[in-house]
Amino acid sequence: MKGLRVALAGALWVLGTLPSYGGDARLALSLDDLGFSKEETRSDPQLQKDLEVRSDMLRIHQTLGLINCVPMVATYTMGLINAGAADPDTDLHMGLGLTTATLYATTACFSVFAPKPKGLKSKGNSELHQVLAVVHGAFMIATPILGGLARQEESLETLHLASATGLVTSYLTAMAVMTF
Amino acid sequence: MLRSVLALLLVPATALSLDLTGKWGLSSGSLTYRVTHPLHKVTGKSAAAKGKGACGAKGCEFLVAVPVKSFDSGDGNRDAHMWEAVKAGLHPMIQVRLTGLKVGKGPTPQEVEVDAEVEFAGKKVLFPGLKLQVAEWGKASARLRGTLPLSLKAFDIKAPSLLTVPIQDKVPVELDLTWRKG
Repeated sequence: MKGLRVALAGALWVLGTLPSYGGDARLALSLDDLGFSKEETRSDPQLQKDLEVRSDMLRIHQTLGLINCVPMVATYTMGLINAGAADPDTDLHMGLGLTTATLYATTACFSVFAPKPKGLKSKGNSELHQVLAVVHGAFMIATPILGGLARQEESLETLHLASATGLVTSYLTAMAVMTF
Repeated sequence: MLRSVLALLLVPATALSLDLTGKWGLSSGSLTYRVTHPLHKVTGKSAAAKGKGACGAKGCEFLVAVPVKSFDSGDGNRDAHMWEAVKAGLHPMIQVRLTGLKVGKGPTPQEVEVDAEVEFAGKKVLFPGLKLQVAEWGKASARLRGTLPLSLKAFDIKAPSLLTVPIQDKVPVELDLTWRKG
């Protein structure tokens, strides 16, 4: 009998020393237990709003940028035709060029003025796209200026063509890096 | 006879003192999502996960969380679009709660099974019976790998698109979690 009491006491002691979580009836880990800073876990409605506005503006930028390919390529093609023509239609070429420049400026605005949320890092193909934007932006300014000057000084026609070629090439490349 | 009674009473107790009992911490963890589009296959990885776990008489529970903004796909603009799509401004963290742990037999199990509850983009979705492969298993550590078969629709996330073509709804998330006791 004494031995049985000892055995029972021993069993109860072993069972009593088994580890248990917190003594609570329910396991309840929460995000606060993990050691993240308040800044990391805090909700930021303004950030979400900025992200949504940014997405909308960049979607418009993308659409206008794609549409602008049409007058840009048409202007360039017209320029090539004019270069070999006896009676070039410079008015149409100029009209197409003006359309291209206007659409271009509008497209650029949607990118330039899109919100840039905190924590956003420029890298990858997006960064390359921005670098190419600086290149074709410079060509977009130079090309119509050279075109206007070439109307008075024919020797500038070659420079105008070279600038236009640089514009179309860098513009289409900027589109390609965002697509593929 | 008394020795037999003692032995019978003690054996279940020793069998119950599993290696898992105690508190666990995530010593390293990475989560990698995979997105598929006709023109692109993209992966985004985060090594910023933190986690804790505890196993006791009532079972085991593990909680892993990772900031949404810590995922890096290699393109800043793409990451920003991802933040917008998953409402990172309002719900900055992804939380994965693992319960119902079932460990394979033997001293070094090949696989464990858990019920995973994922809280993401303001919604909770349960993935019962998720199998995780055991890459390493020790007395006080375990490295587990597996894939959460996330679906954008399940979390009410509108699939982002490129040139009007949306990405695939299935966005599997690969887990690589190393746990240490104590």
